[in-house]
Amino acid sequence: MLEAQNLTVGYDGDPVLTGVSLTAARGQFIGLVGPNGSGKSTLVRTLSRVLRPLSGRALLDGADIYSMGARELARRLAVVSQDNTVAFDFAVRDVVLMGRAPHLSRFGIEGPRDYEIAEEAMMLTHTAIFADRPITELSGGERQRCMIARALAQQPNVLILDEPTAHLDVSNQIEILDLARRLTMERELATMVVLHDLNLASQYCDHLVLISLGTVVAEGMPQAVVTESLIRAAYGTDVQVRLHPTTGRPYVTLLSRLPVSAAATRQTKIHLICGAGTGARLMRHLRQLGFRVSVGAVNVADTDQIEAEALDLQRVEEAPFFPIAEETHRRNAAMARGADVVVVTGIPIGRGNLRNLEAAVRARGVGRRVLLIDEPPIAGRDFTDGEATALQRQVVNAGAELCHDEAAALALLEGLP
Amino acid sequence: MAAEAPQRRPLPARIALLTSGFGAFLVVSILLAAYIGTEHVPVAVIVDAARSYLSGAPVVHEPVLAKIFWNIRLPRVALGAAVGCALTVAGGSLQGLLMNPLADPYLIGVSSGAALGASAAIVLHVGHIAGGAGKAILAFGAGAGTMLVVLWLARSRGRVQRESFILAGVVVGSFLWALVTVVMTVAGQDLQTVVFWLMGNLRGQTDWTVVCVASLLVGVGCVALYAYARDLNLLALGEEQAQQLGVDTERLKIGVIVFSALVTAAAVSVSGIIGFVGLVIPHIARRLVGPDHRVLLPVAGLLGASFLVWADTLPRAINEMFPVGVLTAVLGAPFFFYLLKTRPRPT
Repeated sequence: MLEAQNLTVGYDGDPVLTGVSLTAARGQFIGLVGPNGSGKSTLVRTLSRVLRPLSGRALLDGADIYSMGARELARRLAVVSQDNTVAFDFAVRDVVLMGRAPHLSRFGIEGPRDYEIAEEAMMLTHTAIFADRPITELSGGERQRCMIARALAQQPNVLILDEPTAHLDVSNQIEILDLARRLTMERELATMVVLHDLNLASQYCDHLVLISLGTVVAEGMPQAVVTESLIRAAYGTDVQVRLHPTTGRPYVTLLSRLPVSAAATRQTKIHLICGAGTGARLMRHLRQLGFRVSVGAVNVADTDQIEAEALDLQRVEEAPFFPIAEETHRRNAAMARGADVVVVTGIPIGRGNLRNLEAAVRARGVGRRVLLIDEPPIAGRDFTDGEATALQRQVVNAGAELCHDEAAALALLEGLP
Repeated sequence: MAAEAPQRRPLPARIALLTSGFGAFLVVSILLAAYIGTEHVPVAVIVDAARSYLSGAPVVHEPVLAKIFWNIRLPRVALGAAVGCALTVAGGSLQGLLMNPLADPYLIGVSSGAALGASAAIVLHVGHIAGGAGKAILAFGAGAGTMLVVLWLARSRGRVQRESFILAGVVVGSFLWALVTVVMTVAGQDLQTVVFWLMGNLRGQTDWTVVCVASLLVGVGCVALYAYARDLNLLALGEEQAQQLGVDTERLKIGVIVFSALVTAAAVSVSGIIGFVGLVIPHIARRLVGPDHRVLLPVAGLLGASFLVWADTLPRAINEMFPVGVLTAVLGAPFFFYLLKTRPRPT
């Protein structure tokens, strides 16, 4: 178990982080997140005895890490850093065997048992296939797996990974973190991982520690730490946080700080009836053209709903995956009537959202201009045994304009005041 | 590297096999090199002299001929072996420490210090003191002193910064080299002696005491450097990673610097500036046996010793005046280009 007790860490007497207290117990997977320069790596250096704490204590299984020797600590705590370059072309096996060094005497040479441990570490990390290859010939992801194998060869209780996924592509990031997670469980390690990517952190970690502005600002389950307000406070930027529909973990969408459009510059109000991502691009485009845009009826967590929220558009929402309820329909129809133009995108229509078309029919009934983007053509997206097709025909007969695609609709709208 | 690499021997067996192989080559080289020369010395004469020396029995053969082998050629060859070993082990260790394949024993300024000491001794005519070893002693002292200055410059806040160390070595070296040229301008009649010494050569080294003292220093230094071999391996992962694997990197850095400087100063003080051996031979050895310093350092040392023995002997057989330092530089630089162009492709 690794424990920090009221640690203050920094260089040459200048504190970078103050008052850090945290605990990593065996079997736990703890994430350390925070902006660049917040002191994550400094904390790792301190916990691995590279840097002396300015005050406070770092304990491993109850003993101060400075009361034990560096080699003793290396037998119980292993660190994998983001920099995994090796200066000479050592074979992978030799690099993994370096993890045995803390267990050997000064002039000791690795024996059969050390080779066994190294082989096992290479099996676990799927690096045995290139055991005899020079490590300098491997890719970044492969090298990182070798470094994890080397850390395992140390037979530690505590594993610290300092941005292990830096410089790696998505598939390698997943592979490395899956591996670390699996080893944490199988070996009952106390694992602390510094991560840059908030989404990876909240997906993989049981417990997150958020550091910013020189101290720990939040700690707890990902749901409690990765929140819009905490992230905004720590990173000084606006993000959107949602619960991932399948994992239930929070996930962060980064929002561009470039304003879409400072203010509505046109009088025309456009109500966009969309869903399933068919309207996301159009609403952004219309907003950029300076129209006043409203959106409805969309399910919460639907791509169009997320985009509408990001653009801060007026909207009518329905609960995730629910059919449009009577009340929602009424509000949507009212919003459509209140607009100058109603645009219906090429949404797949089922029983659940048939009312979206009905809202368009009603708006046309009170004389609103209605544009239907028939792409793909209604026949291919009508899942209501023809009811949707009939409604579309009805609204077209009532004077709605049929556009073959989004561009055609935009061409019509562009000229409006 | 072949996809199916053969199962390697365990490390102790590899070390034993390689060192005895290269060691045997060195012994044969030394004996052959001392045998080769313009004056033919029959084997019977050599053996007779040895037997007489060991048993006290009177010599049967020509004692002057035996002296050529035992007291003129052999000390020079043995000294060449010690110098070659020293420069190569120091070069290999420094390359490992600085993680820089261009590092060599002359990078750290020690050789310039020794050169200043030696040229000053020549110009001031103090070479004859201490039984003729005055020049070597002054050179060694100046070299060791230079190392202390460079180390002091490279240390800040209790840590030796490797980048500062290289910079300090190069700058101090250049400064001292400028002083050497100052000495040369006032050398007058001694200029030729100074220049000849600076070119690096083993001519006239026939004093067994000098050979023994130099070899002892080199031996102690090389054994000490070998003690850091495994730590140097770990350092290849980066300084912080080495610390996290339990290495006291400050002790490692100071140890490698001090002992590399010691053996370099010992070598330079008796041979002058023999270039490229400490740079090229460790590279060749790394190609042959891989980067593990526990294997690399002894193999490189034995290879460097054998190389210098031959580099000194072959020109000697043709022209007594040809300085070995010129040969190593003329051969060494093109060979280094070859190594550069044929090195395994990094990905």
